[in-house]
Amino acid sequence: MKKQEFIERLTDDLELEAGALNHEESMLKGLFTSLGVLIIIALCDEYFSKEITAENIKSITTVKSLMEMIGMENFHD
Amino acid sequence: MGTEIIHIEYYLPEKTLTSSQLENKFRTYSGQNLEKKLGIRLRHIAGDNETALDLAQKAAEKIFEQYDKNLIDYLLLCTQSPDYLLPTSACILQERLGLRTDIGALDFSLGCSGFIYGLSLAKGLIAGGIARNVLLLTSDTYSKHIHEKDYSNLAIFGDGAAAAVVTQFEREKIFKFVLGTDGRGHKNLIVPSGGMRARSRKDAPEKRDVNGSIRTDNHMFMDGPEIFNFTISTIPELVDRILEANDSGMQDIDYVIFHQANSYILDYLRKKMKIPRDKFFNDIAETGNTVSASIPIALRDCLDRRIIKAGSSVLLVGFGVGYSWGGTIIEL
Repeated sequence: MKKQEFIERLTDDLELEAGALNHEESMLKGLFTSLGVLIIIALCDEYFSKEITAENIKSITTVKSLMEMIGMENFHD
Repeated sequence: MGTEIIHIEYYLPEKTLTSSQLENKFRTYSGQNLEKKLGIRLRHIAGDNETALDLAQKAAEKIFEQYDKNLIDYLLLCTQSPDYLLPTSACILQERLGLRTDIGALDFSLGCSGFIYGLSLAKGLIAGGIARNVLLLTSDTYSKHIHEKDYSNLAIFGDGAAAAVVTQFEREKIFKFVLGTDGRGHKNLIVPSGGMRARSRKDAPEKRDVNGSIRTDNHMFMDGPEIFNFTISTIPELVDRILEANDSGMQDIDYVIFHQANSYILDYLRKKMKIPRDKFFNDIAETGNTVSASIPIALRDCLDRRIIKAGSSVLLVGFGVGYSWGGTIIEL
């Protein structure tokens, strides 16, 4: 998946304001509600067949750290 | 000789808790967002002196308005909110409902898979010649397990009870079951204290989670993300196995009813399994997640709305605390 497409999808699914996440270093920590965590799990399952645990999610800080957890090989410019 | 479900009724407590009320109580949350994402506008909450046993009694009495209670020769009650550690609530219900004394009665403790397991037990009892007409009750009051400041769980769960009669029929209308259990998940949905392993403590310390919800070990804990992971990894395969066990494909199924966990999870599962929206039930707006009662409540609502009718083939799937899961296909 294109990195930009992922960022846009993440913004959309988490119902953040457009541009809230505008690059890989954008902070995600603090943006997760209990439902937001489910949304991240669903996104990782749907597009990457990747299981993300609650413990994994606690360590996510930025968009890039989420992408690294999923595996950078799944993304391109 | 086979089995069939001949009556389904349910009862919900009168008291309700709306998403707007939750928003007023916990100002950091949006009631509208709750409705939109979880699909829950209100939940019914048992009164202080109203228990799962009381709710089950009322659901059963609805059935006995149209069915002779003297025909019942076995009573199964699924609950995780019993009145007492002992005796079993089913014995008390036998007396309260005025059922015969020459019948079997027992409780079993399961959550959201409870109706499926109850159906499998009822079918087995009838097939084994032990009973002819089984009263299957599923009733729970999770609200009594949830801390008053645990917003996350208060938002999801509602109290309720359902009653069904499973009886002999000239051919089988409750088809093959696929069941599953994985106790590795038991800590992810649990009331840690109050049993024999750890007694409840009046001085149990309060714990606050990252979302601000508060509970103690005397209250219910749910690791939502882990439950979600369990669900999305287990249920699609379960559905495939149920269809395979019954030599069926999704095209042979008229309607699909999953345990009504919350709308977000249900919609994700539906899309993941490519089940058409028009044959998939997803409506807990007026009930919340009613645990073991959610599937029979959905069945009754579908019958009342004529979404399903006599002869419909319905795929039922339950999953949750334990972990425990199961499913079957029934013909109404």
